[in-house]
Amino acid sequence: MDERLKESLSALLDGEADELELQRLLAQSERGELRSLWSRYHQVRNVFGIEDARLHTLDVSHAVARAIGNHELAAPLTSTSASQQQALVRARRESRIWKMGAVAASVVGAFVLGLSLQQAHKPAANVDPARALAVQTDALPTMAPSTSSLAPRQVSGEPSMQTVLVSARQQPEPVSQVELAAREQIGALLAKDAQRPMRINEHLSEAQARRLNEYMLRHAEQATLASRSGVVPLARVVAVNTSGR
Amino acid sequence: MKLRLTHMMILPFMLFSVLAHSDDPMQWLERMQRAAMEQNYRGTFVLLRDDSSSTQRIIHRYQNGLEQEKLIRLDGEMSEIVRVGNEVTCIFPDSRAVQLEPGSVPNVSPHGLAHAMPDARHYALSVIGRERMANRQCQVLRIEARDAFRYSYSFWLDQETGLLLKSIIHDLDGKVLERLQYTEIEFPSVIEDGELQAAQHHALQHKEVLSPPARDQQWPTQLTWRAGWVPPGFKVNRERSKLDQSMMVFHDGIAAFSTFIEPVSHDPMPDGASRVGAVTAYSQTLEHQGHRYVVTVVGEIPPQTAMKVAESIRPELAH
Repeated sequence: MDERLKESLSALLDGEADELELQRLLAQSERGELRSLWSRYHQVRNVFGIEDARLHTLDVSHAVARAIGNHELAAPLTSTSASQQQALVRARRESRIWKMGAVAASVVGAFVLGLSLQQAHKPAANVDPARALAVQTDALPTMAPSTSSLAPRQVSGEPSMQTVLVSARQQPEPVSQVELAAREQIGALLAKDAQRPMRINEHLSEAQARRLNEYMLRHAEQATLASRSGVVPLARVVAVNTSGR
Repeated sequence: MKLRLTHMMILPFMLFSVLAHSDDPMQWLERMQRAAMEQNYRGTFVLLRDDSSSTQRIIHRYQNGLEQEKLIRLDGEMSEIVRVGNEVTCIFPDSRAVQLEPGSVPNVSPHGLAHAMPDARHYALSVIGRERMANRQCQVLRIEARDAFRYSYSFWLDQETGLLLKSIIHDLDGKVLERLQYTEIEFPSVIEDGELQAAQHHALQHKEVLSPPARDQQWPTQLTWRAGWVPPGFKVNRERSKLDQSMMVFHDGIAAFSTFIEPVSHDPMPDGASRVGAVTAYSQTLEHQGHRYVVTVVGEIPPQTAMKVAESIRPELAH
């Protein structure tokens, strides 16, 4: 179908089609292709009708993915959503004065968006590192009863969701393909790590404790100079060396 | 008339710069870094980690480009740290002083800090408001980790100087791991030399100088170490790596961790994790072509991250 016809169709949808465009559309109105496009455009309109809910869904899945480090899930959304989100936001703002170009862009955006939303929900249920981590923690109640905080992190996802949600909406960034691949790997690795128990050292020999303190001192010295957060790294050493001995 | 017009044109700019200053978290972090180095200050703070707490006194001076500070523990057994520029001496309760080998730390210029800023891809930064702390007006910063590889932070920075007066480190669940909070602080223009000397100076029994861990003699001398994996955003401090091949330092602008590599000794670090507050230490024995070595990762990172980093450390022949 030629582009001019599509433009005419979206103009009609917005009630902005002129006489010529109407004629052109009528002449082609029997074509199934045009009819299906017309119905798709209307679906898109409906999507925008409930666009608030849709946008929130997008942000939540995005934010949850980030919160739980599931980069496999985050990747397809972040890779395509930046421009789409912008298009959607723009479309919403300018809904009264939609221009043909904006409509066309939003249509494409909305379809891809709908697709990735549907896809996104499936892996979230299947490979959910948050769940894996939580299960792991439950499975290890005897490992570190007195130092439960040492056990693999219990990730509920919920407490930090709100804040991450805000930030995710503030800064949607495009992500390079290389980084996408890297993130996928990381997500897989993290999920794998969650399955492994971690040994907790509760008792160190004097020589070991001394070496650990030396490491901490060396690290603190470096961290003071590297992160420049002031007194904090060295204060940790001062606190450790009396109680730890 | 002309003069008044100029004023009217300047005013919005002045207003804008004030507003921009108070809302940009990056600018606040820069101020914090600068203040930690360039301010004279004297204060008392409490450090809370897990179930333990310690109260410490800090005196910090910046004079003629030289940073000097003294930290002294006020409760429990007395221990101190005295720092002169890059030279750190730790004085333990038994009057044993431990000093890291002088010159092991490269000089850091306060003006070359641009590289040490956090990336918005890894942390969401925001200024969330103002609060009074240690009788000072503070700007509250929120630094939220965007992934599970690092921790999140809340910083209270002195409105006037930018100095960090309170910090809270939390994990992904929002659980508080470490809390540091000043109870009083002052910014004197002059700090005398005497104030910066170790209180137990006269009683020092002996002083030992720690040198870098010994190299395994069987390994080729041109051997270097490489971390196969670090969380995205962490960069190695190359200067440091040049000085001591067995230690690497990584930082992401907020958190830092160090990796230590040593040949297996008679009493090696046992494999596994230990954690105090926000600091994790994870040791792992690895083997490469029949050589066994112990890697220990120490830093403000979650145990899972430390474990992954430790396992990825491999030797590499330099070309």
